[in-house]
Amino acid sequence: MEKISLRTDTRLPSRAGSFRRMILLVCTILLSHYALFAQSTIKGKVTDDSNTGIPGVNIVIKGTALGTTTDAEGNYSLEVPNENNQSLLVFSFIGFSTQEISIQGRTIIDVKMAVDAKELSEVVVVGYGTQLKRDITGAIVKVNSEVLQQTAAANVFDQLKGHAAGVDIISASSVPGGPTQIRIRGNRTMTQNSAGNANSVTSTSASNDAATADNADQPLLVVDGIPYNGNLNDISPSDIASMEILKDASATAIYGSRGAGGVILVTTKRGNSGKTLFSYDGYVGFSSVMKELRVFNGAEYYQFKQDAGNGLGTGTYPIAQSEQDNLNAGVSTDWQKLIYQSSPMQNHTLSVSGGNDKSKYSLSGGYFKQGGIIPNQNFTRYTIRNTMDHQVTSRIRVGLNTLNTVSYQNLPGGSGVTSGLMQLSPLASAYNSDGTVNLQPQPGLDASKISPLTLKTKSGSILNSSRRLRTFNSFYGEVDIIKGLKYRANIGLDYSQQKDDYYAGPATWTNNALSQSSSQASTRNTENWQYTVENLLIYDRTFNQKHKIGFTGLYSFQKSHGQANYVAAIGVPFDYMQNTNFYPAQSVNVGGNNDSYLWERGLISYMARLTYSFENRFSATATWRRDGSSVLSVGNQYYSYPAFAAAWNIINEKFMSSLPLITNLKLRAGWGITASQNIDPYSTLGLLGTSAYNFGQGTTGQQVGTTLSNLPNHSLKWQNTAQWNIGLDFGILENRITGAIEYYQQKTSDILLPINLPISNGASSTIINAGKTESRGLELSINSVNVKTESGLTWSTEFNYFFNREKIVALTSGQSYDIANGWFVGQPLSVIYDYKKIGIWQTNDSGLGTQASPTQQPGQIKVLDWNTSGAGLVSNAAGYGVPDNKITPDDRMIIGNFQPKFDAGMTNRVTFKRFDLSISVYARMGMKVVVPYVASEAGGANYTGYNFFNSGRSNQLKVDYWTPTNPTNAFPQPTSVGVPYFGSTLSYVDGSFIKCRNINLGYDIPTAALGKAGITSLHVYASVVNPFVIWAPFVRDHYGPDPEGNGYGGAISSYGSGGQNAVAGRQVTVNANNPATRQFLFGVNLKF
Amino acid sequence: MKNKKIISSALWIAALLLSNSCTDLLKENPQSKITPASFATPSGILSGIAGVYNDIRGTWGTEGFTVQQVTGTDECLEGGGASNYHILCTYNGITGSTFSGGFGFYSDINVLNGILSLGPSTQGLDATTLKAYLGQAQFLRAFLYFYLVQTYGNIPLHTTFITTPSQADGPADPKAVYAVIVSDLKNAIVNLPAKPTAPFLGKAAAAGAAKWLLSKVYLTRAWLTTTSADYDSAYNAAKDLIDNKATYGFDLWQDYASAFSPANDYDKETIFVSDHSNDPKYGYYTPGGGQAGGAAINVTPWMGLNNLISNVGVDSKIDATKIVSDPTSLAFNPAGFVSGGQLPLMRDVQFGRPFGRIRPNINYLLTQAFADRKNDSRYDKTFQTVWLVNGGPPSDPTSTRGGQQAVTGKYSGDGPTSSRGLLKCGVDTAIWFPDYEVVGAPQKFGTRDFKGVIVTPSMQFPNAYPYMKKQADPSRVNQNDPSTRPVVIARFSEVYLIAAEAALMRGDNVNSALYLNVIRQRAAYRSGAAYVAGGVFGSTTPATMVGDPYPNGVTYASAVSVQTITPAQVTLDFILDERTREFYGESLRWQDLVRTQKLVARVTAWNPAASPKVTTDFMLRPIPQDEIDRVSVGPKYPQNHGY
Repeated sequence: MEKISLRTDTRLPSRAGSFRRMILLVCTILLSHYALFAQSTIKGKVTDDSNTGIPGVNIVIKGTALGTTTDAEGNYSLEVPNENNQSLLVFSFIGFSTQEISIQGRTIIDVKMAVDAKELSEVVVVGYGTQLKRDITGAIVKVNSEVLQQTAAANVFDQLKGHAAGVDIISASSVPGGPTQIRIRGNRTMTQNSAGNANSVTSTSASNDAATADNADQPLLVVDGIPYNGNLNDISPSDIASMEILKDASATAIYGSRGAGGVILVTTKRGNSGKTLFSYDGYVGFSSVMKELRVFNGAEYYQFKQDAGNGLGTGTYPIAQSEQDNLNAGVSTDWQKLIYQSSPMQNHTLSVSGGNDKSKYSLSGGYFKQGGIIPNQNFTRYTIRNTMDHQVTSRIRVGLNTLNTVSYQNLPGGSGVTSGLMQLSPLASAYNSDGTVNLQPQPGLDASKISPLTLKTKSGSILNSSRRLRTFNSFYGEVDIIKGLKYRANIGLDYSQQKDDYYAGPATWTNNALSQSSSQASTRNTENWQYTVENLLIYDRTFNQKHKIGFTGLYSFQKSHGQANYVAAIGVPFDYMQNTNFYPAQSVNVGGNNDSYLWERGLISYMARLTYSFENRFSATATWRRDGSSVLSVGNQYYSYPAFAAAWNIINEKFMSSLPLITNLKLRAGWGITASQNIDPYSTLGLLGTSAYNFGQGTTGQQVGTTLSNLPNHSLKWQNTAQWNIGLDFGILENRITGAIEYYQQKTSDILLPINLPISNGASSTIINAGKTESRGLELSINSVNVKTESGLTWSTEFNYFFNREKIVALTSGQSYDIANGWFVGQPLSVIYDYKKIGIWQTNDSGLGTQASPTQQPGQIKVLDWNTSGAGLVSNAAGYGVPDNKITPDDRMIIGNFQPKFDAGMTNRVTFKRFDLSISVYARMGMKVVVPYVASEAGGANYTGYNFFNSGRSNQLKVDYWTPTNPTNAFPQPTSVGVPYFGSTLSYVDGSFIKCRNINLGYDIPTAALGKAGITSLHVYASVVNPFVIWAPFVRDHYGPDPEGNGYGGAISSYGSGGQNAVAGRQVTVNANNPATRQFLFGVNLKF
Repeated sequence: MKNKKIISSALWIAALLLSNSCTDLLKENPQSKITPASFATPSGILSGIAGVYNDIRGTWGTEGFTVQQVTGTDECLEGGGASNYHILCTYNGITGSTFSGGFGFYSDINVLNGILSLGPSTQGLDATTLKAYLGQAQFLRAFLYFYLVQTYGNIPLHTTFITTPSQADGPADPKAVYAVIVSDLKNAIVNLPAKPTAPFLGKAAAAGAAKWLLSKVYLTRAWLTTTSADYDSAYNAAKDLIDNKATYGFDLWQDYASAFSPANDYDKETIFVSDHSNDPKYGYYTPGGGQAGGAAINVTPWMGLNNLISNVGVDSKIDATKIVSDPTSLAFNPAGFVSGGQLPLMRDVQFGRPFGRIRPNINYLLTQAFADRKNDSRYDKTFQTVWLVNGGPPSDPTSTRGGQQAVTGKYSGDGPTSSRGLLKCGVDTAIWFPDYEVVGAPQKFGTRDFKGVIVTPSMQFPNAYPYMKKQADPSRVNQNDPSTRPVVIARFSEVYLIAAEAALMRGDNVNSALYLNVIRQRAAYRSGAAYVAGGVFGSTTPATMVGDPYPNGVTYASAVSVQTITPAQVTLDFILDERTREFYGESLRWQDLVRTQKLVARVTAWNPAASPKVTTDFMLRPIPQDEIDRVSVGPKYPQNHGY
């Protein structure tokens, strides 16, 4: 994952094979042809620390193809053309740091090369410390900032997409600053571990990010050693130096209680001793919609309405006279075009770092702003970061990292403006004849809708913003006690405060009411804090230069706290007041039961880890951890679990020298248990829903009401996942090709499951420990340097491929399925359980006469009469698959799931001299997505489908619908009956895609030209993020611009209103939310 | 170096401090939450009761409930906006999914079980308060079980506080359910005060309400089990309530219409209501009425309000069954209304939100139930049939045109101009739904030009029908706001009809006629003066028929005389017709037909859309599919027969 090539050669340099020398020799011979006439000879010797000559060192005149290699004693001789006698010589050799030395007319240049610490002893952050890469026993992916920063995005997960095997990242929103869902090795739990008393535990935002996201299987994020529970958008990607993704149990076990979903360790940039470095990284550009959703244009809409009127029923919504006039005049308003805009995006980070032997520091300030495609929607972030590392005495070190963020998210109109735009009549006039905005453009029944142009013209009356202040601090102190033994204290304090503001003035897109007394205002304040205290005892010794022993002991405790207050008002007398003063409002209320809250949770942990490695050949890790959590039932709060792993550096075995092609080979295997307590505080206590009621009309009759919603559980305990992992790291051809392959299996038991109970038992849900799930998967990543010429052309490829197969192994007490919760043994954790659409009833279809219930008409959706659950879902049971001519809920069946067949990512980089080009492509294949807006729903709480789809009440996505003269099997006949039978079956679509994630073209401006300005390096680049979709059936079939999700839930319930949801609410869906965007950027990386 | 030592020792001290164990960290203290343990406290019991009332509000008066209770009967047909209520209106394809969520009241029943089991031992409650609380819980549990058992038949019965989750459940014998209901109500009658008292004000449960419910429960059980003792009990309970009406604060208004005046919502004729409020905390009021569907808002008034008001044009004409704006547009929209260039009517606050889910079955109403509209005033007091012009001319900037809306209609001044001349707002009629076939309709009254549109009974179709005005809420702010009037669940006149039905079933036609005549004679009363020729329409009040004059040739005395029936005239069908006349649109009809086992016969006779599919199986609604799906342990929950 590192730049250019991954040289993970762990051998000593002296082991450099003869093969390598041969290649270099050939190169030298070839290169000698380039010797030019006017030239001088430079000679010299290249040595290592001990003044021993290094053979085979590559020497090139920078920016040319001219070069040579050292001989067996380390001597070299190179003809340098005169015009190059002020150029740089580049000395490079595997295992040593590359050096650039200015010739300055000299003829003898001796060079002492330093061992490249990174190469030889590349360190990987493993949690509570670091380890040499060669000693690593677990499945860990390291991603460097260079890779991440190819993609300009608000948060690091967005940047990570497609770059790490086993890490599945899906968008859950397209609004600026919106959330991203990440899964490491798939799902382990069947549902969101929230029983509906949702205080957002893992997020501070109440409105639009992880709070509404499904965080049950979300990995733990650890920033500079301290668990981070905040909003990911609060961390500037520019401040991140690297990310380590711990995937298997042996790696994550040290984080035990929260490691079950994997762990992502984020290391931020710190200072180095030496010269003070200034750097500036920035880009500017703009963001624009990838593509509008395709709706009916004016003439098509007219036809759609006519066809709806000709269909069954009498509830038609005829065209209005004004629409007729506009049709005749050729008007076809494209509402999406009128609203969507390109908006600027920019990021600037200025940093200073430096230090001396004792103190190192870094300082940075950042500014990020991304505009949305909806007017006035944007996300702005200001960050200030400071790190200090100080050696107090020879035995004591202290350090601090403080990360401070203020972010603003403005989302006037919310994330679903698109849905509203799509429904507006294209035959309505956006503007009056005098040029003013037509305030109520929609004729007919929906005439109360206010023009979306008020998002622009009345922006002062629409407020929907949140401002978050976060300060995330980690302090450490380290004391060396005796040789090899040190004590370290980590103290983390994370504090955030968020303010959500809302105002909807009358006669605006967000408030159709026309009276000022109906204006709506609210404000919410949320405060979250968390402190973490970790006491670590770390012992590291090497005995006899063979036995390296490491021990880490931990005692830590953590407390988290959240509190919120909410006030809302109706009837603010003046728009300008917005939500700043509630007193003048006509009525003030405090929202619902969950709008104001306080929660706290605590965690106490003990952990011990022992590592041992022998002769750089074998290494082993053993971990034991014990956690106590406040959210579980008393008596079950503590849980202990082990993990073991071992690795064998096969490459360091003597017999490997006979296989010179192979330059790295390491086998790893591990087993371990991780656990989860990811439920809301107080879940074990049961919960009453709160409401309020007024007996009669007077205030004396006003009472608070409670109803039972969740039953208590007095024996709730830890959920645990046992996982084993086997991995092979390899390098071939001088590590020109490197990679890793991993196979894993994991079994999760005692899942903390909020289950839907038969409500006749007195409550609708509770949380239990039940069920088992299992998953296994394969991950492959390969990095190769395909071409590397002495002329400076390098072409390298990073490729990853992975899949995860998850299934439910058991449910409660011998159940083989639980339809109400959507769980089926043997199936993936989330499936679609609904009727199976087999087409559209065609005229003269003989089945029309046979189907007794419901009686259907030509043009309606035809589903399979199959009687699955009547036969207990057992396909060979009596009655299964036997039509009874009645379509009932027994005919529902599993018709798809959301598990990709595989994910893959590929990045190609080409560098030529000072130019570099990279293209990233990634794919998710073989899963379904839910597209609620092509289905329909009546009376649904979410209105995610078009409520009046097919009755022509409003405009909608252009689809191929049935008419007597167009006997399609795609979409039913528009009618005026309302919701078609089995409308939900329309919403399941193949979600596979191959997308280009970004294209970057960069150029290193020669430093010679800049040297006088004090600039040491200057890189400029142009970049496109989300340039195009390469292949996606979703896009091909015009469902929308992007099959990636943009929201949660909203799946249509099957069979009209009130039906059981066919899709679990945790699924990311593609809805008529703000469509995906594309960014064009120009950027600069400057060092001075 | 001194500094370093200080720092060093500080670190060591810190390390020691940080190592202190913090077992308090694992203690949970749900400060901002209310847990089930609260049912053992006085305020917990009170809030539990209020919570149950709130859930009743989440059903009665809402869109789904209102539609469910009247569709698929003789009274109602599918409206133009029926949407997926089409299934209920036609019985075509009803499954358990249609009623998912229908068992929601069991969480309330569990709360009541908790109150009834923990309440008596709760500390800090005086005897009177405890009695009132227990009485409320008993009434409510009976009320909910009665609704559930009538609707679904084979339902689970739980009378103890369930605190341990279970995924198994099954139906109980309906007789056992009824036994609990009867016993609860008997206890409630003892425990509750005669009339509502604080804090259960308004028309919350009181002994009077419990007696009404008990009489109805007996009557219903009598039909189910054909037990004459239950008919007797029903009759006696109803009679007792009528005889002692003053004790319970009940009586009939002289004028049928008074029962529906917003001012009288909590007055003598109202037995039991579900309250609403325009205080967003105590109700579910949201300005602009963005909510519908599952929200606990009262939208009953507009389920049967058609889209006419925003669709009909000044020059609308009618062909055989449909209205169109002009003959040329027949070509492009033969199916329904087309807006003319100028609208005489706009949706406004007065009219509200046209859901159009249901419409009156005008054939049944005019030829059967309300056949005598001269002597029985209830048709005129139930339906709005005249709409006055409230839309302005296109040139009027304060008004609207082309389907646009204003907050308030224009109640005076010039409206649009039609080919028949200028329409005066608040004076001229925009639309009239006569209860007879008018020659010359829709544009002429006989040979005289009619400025608006006349839609005769034969011309009514799903988008054009009279409006059931009894529950209208004129006090709202925005045209789409929900009603904040209480949903009246029971009126005192029902007690008379319960008594009449019970008497009939006991073979006591004399007393049956006696109680029917009380209601029928009241219906003869009109508040207006004597007949005024041509004086029905027109005034400054918008779109309502003004006054309540006696028709030509009718006086109060003559009407009373005609309305009075003889014992021989009483039949079950007569009582069912009477219940239509008295309770049209009051969310009772489906249960009335089911109780009297007349569903199939009456639907077959009067409702051509529902008759092809209706069977006796549909006298029970299907067990909600989510209950069937969620019972995943033990025996599968059986679906009712026929679904």
